[in-house]
Formats: sequence, structure tokens, C-alpha cells
Amino acid sequence: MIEMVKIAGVREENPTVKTFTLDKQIDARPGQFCMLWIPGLDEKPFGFAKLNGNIEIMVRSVGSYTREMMSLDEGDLIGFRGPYGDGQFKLKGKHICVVSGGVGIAPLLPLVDEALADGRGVSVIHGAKTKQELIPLEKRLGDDVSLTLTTDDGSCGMEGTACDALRELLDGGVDQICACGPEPMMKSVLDVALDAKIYCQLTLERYLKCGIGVCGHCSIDESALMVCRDGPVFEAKQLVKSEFGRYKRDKSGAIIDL
Amino acid sequence: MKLTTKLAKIKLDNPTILASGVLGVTAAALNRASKSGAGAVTTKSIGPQRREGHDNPVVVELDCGLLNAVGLSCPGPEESLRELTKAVKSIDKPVIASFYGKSILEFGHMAEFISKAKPDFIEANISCPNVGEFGLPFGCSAKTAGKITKAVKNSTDIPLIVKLTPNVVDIRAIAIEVEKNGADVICAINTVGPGMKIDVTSGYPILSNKTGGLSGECIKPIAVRCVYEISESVDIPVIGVGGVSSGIDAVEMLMAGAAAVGVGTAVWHHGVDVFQKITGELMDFMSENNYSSLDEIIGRSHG
Ligand SMILES: Cc1cc2nc3c(=O)[nH]c(=O)nc-3n(C[C@H](O)[C@H](O)[C@H](O)COP(=O)(O)OP(=O)(O)OC[C@H]3O[C@@H](n4cnc5c(N)ncnc54)[C@H](O)[C@@H]3O)c2cc1C
Ligand SMILES: Cc1cc2nc3c(=O)[nH]c(=O)nc-3n(C[C@H](O)[C@H](O)[C@H](O)COP(=O)(O)O)c2cc1C
Repeated sequence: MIEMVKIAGVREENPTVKTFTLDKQIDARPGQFCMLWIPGLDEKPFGFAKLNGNIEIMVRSVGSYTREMMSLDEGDLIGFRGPYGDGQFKLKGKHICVVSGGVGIAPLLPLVDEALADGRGVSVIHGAKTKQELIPLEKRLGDDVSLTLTTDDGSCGMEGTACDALRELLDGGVDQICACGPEPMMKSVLDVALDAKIYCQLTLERYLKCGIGVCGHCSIDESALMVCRDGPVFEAKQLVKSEFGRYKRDKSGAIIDL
Repeated sequence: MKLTTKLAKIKLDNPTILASGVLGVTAAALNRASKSGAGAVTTKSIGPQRREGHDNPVVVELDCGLLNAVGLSCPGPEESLRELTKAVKSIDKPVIASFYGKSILEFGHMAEFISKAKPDFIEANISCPNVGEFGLPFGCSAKTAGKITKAVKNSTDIPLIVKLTPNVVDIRAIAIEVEKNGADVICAINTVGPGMKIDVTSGYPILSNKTGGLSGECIKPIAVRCVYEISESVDIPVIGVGGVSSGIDAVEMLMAGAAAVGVGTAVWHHGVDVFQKITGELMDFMSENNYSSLDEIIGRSHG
């Protein structure tokens, strides 16, 4: 059931990304998501960028809804329902490599918190097209995490993609990969993980309507796993030979190539 | 013990059917429901145009069920036909193709069009609003419901299910008219209402469409009553839909006169495993009460 929740704080991460602290604490697992409702406009899915204490939501402005979110301020109300998603990140390895593209870092942050609290090794790869689109992570992650930044144009960190950086890190004892970002990037991560036989979990983004596993709109071919109910986090083996990396469905249900 | 049942001439392994609009947007999803134990599966209603459906929120979670206004989203007839064809080819259980039109004529065209995929049944969803006649759903008038049935029957040889809305004064009159015009099976009920849920903090109705159809546990008594009245009035088989989530719920529907039961909203709490759960519980009930086939249960309450 939707409940109106107060925005307790807003932080600007870069010119297109803001993090909202909600006046709400919940019991959820890294990778789960919520549906946020702006009355009179729309309701869209977002992951949790922080789960201990007040929850945080990190939003990138990409269209009409997220643009409207950018104008929300401390004290404003937003509709919240969740947490949803049976497919969640779980800690399996001793040294976890987190691979993120842009705002894809958001749902991975609570996983990093959990891994650190549990004494596991964590490497974070964070990539974006340009320096401007990177999320400032040094302070948030602290000294116990090894952070690699990549940009497509080389304007900051290593020149190349997050997946290029992953290939280089693999020799260093990584025994689990968790990834979130643009689908082409994740497809490469999946291929690298399968090749190296390393346990890998990835999040999938599809058009969500009900969010609760009823309407079937976000079901993927051919397994018919539903992103909102069975995901949004999947194990690599669940995504091989699927539509992942090839196509998705739009708001009407029509197939569109990625 | 036998769980088989028959709709028109088609046999179902068990009486549970995936209801229209729940999961069944893709062939793969219909396949998953079938593999998870549904006796037959129904597609989301296929329409004559590509439609995005309503903006979110399209559902409201209630204590006793759901309110939904998905808004008949549809990738368009050609793409729907492709998914339907794939479903019919890949699924070894009966596939029911649900569809709608915006006029009586269009119902006929759509029936002819989706028949190309050779589904086991086509299901006319006459519960959607009729733009032409006063904006009331087609299924609210016995005369219109009969005309649609006839138009569809004239357009295809595939057995026809007509799905009725409960939001009428006398569902018997509609069922009789639909049977008279050639329907092979009646499916009842579609969602109840419409209803509305307002968020009192913001003052906004939650659904972007403001109103939506009520489904789930809270509508079961209405569904049972409708199925009872329909099966009293017609000879063709009835699929009972509305709030079924357990074997006992299914027994209740069957006793009211249904030959099979549709399951929609129960997928929300129980996932796709709900079909196996219902058939398991149904078998438990039958062995505890010494029933050996569904025929002994169907229509029992009619005395
Ligand atoms: C499980 C999940 C978690 C997500 N977590 C985050 C997050 O933490 N931070 C973040 O910035 N973004 C997140 N997203 C993406 C976010 O939901 C979209 O960016 C947002 O819906 C775009 O809406 P818009 O109106 O601004 O843009 P639009 O112009 O409507 O669309 C831009 C893009 O977003 C996609 N999109 C639009 N509506 C939806 C919808 N209802 N469901 C899914 N995708 C949609 C479109 O397909 C398109 O690719 C998540 C998506 C999913 C599925
Ligand atoms: C999300 C949702 C979408 C639905 N879409 C359709 C549809 O496209 N066509 C249709 O005939 N019925 C549709 N229905 C109605 C169901 O098929 C069913 O008749 C109704 O929900 C009552 O059954 P239930 O209580 O088991 O859900 C939909 C129901 C829900 C909950």
C-alpha cells in the first residue's frame, strides 16, 4: 500500500544525479526496490542506495518523471510502496567485485556496506561516459574499498569501460561479481564472468507496471522470470540464452531492440 | 481420483485456468503458468490497436484484494498474434485467446484475426467500455452482448468463451442472450466496480485512471453468486473466476456450477505455484470427502 513519505534531505551528486534521503527506515535486502509515486504524474521503480538508517534513493534525470524528481526538496512528500523483489544480492565470495555504470552504483552501495560489515574484501569499479557523469564515491565508500574509476573518454580514471577494468582485476582473487548499469555493459560483464567461471549477479531493468508480479509486463523471454518479482537481481545462469542484452519491451509490450 | 474437466469439447487436465490479464502478456509467461500446473492459460486481452495502457500507478494493494487499471495495454494486433501463435505452438495445454473490440463490428474482425493463430478457444472480453453506446460496457446490455456473440460466431469456427461483467442488474438475462447467440462457454466474472482508493495525505486517487476494477478475495462471494445464477439459467459450461486462491475456493466455485476455475489475483500472494497449490488442496478435499471426480462436485449446490 502506498504511503506518503517525507524527503528528509537532498544531495547533488553531479549535474544529473541527486540522492534523496527519505524519512523512512525499512527492513530490506540489497537489490530490492520500491515504487515512488508523484501524485498526478506517475510512479516509477527505484533501488535503495542506503538501507541502514533512513533509506536513500539515488536518481538520474533521464525523462519527465525523473526531471520532476530533481525539483523535489527537503520537506516535500513522495508516495512509497515496497520493498519488492525476491531476487536480491547475496554475499557468497570472500572478495566481491562490484561493477557499476553511472547511477547503477545505487543498489550496489548497501551491498558494499553489508560486505564490509561482514569483513569481506570489496573492489568497486565505477564507470561513466565522462568525468561529469561519475558519482563521487570516495567518501561514501571509505578506505577499506579499492575503487577503480573508468571513463569512456579518459577524462577521469582509466580510459575504457567498467568491464575493461573488471578484466584487469580478475587475477586479484575476485570470487564474486555484482553488477548494475546499462545493459550492454552488463552483457559484457556476464560474458566475462561466465568465461572466468566466477559467481555473478546482475540487475535487470525492464518497464515495470504493477511491481508485484501480477500484470506480467516485465517478464523476460524465455524463462518468463519477472523482473519485479523474481528479480530485479538475477544470477548469471538465469540470464544466459535469454532476451538479456538483445531486446526488451516498451510500455505497450512491444519488443524493442536494445 | 480424476481432476479432468471439459469445456465444450476440450478436455482440461485440471480445472485451474490462468485468468486473462494476469502474467499472460507473453508466450513465455503463458508457458510458465502452464508448466507450473495451470490446466489452461488465457492471454491478456488483445486489442485492435497498439496501446500503452494507463500511467502508473496501475494497481493498488488492498487488504482483501487488488484494484487495477492497467488500461488494456497491447503491443498491437500483429505483435500479439505473433506471441499468440508462439504460445499455441509451444504450450501443450489449451490456450485461450482473450480479445476485445471497440464496436460490435470490430469484435467480429478481431475474432477472425486472432483465429489465425488457431487457439483452442477465443474469449470475448465484453466488459470493456463501449465508446459508442453511452460509454457503458458492452456486457451491461443483454442485447449488445448477444449481438457481439453473434458477430463473433459468424467470424470464426473456434469455440467461443464470452466473459461477463458482474456489474449488472441481472447477469442471468445476459448469460441467456449470450447462449442463445451461440457462445460455447461463459466466463464469469471480470473485475467488480469500478472502485476507487484515495490517498488521504495527498488527497489524490491513487490510480492514475482514478478508478479501477476490484479483484481477489473480496469479490469471491459476488463471483460465486454470479456463477450460481448463470449456471442455473444456461446449459453451456461456466468458468468461475473471482477470488479463487485455494482448493476450497475452487470447490465452492465448482459447487456453484462452474466446470473450471479462473485464477488471477491469487498469483500476487502465491506466485505461479498457486495452480499446483489449488489442485493439491482440491485433491485433499476430494479424498477427505470421498469424491472421485469433479462431476460429483460441479453444480452440487443446485440441489
Ligand atoms: C528495478 C529498477 C530499479 C531502478 N533503480 C533506479 C535507481 O536507483 N536510480 C535511477 O535513477 N533509476 C532507477 N531505475 C530506472 C528508473 O525507473 C527510470 O529511469 C525512470 O523510470 C525513468 O522515468 P522518466 O519518466 O524520467 O523517463 P522516461 O523518459 O519515461 O524513460 C527513460 C527510460 O526509463 C525507462 N522507464 C520509464 N518508465 C519506466 C518504468 N515504469 N519502469 C522501468 N523503466 C522505466 C524507459 O524504458 C526508458 O528507457 C530503476 C529501474 C528498475 C526497473
Ligand atoms: C492486473 C489485472 C489485469 C486484468 N486484465 C484483464 C484483461 O485484460 N482482460 C480480462 O478479460 N480480464 C482482465 N482481468 C480480470 C481477471 O481476468 C479476472 O476476471 C478478475 O481479476 C477476477 O479474478 P481474480 O479475483 O482471480 O483476480 C485483469 C485482472 C487483473 C488483476
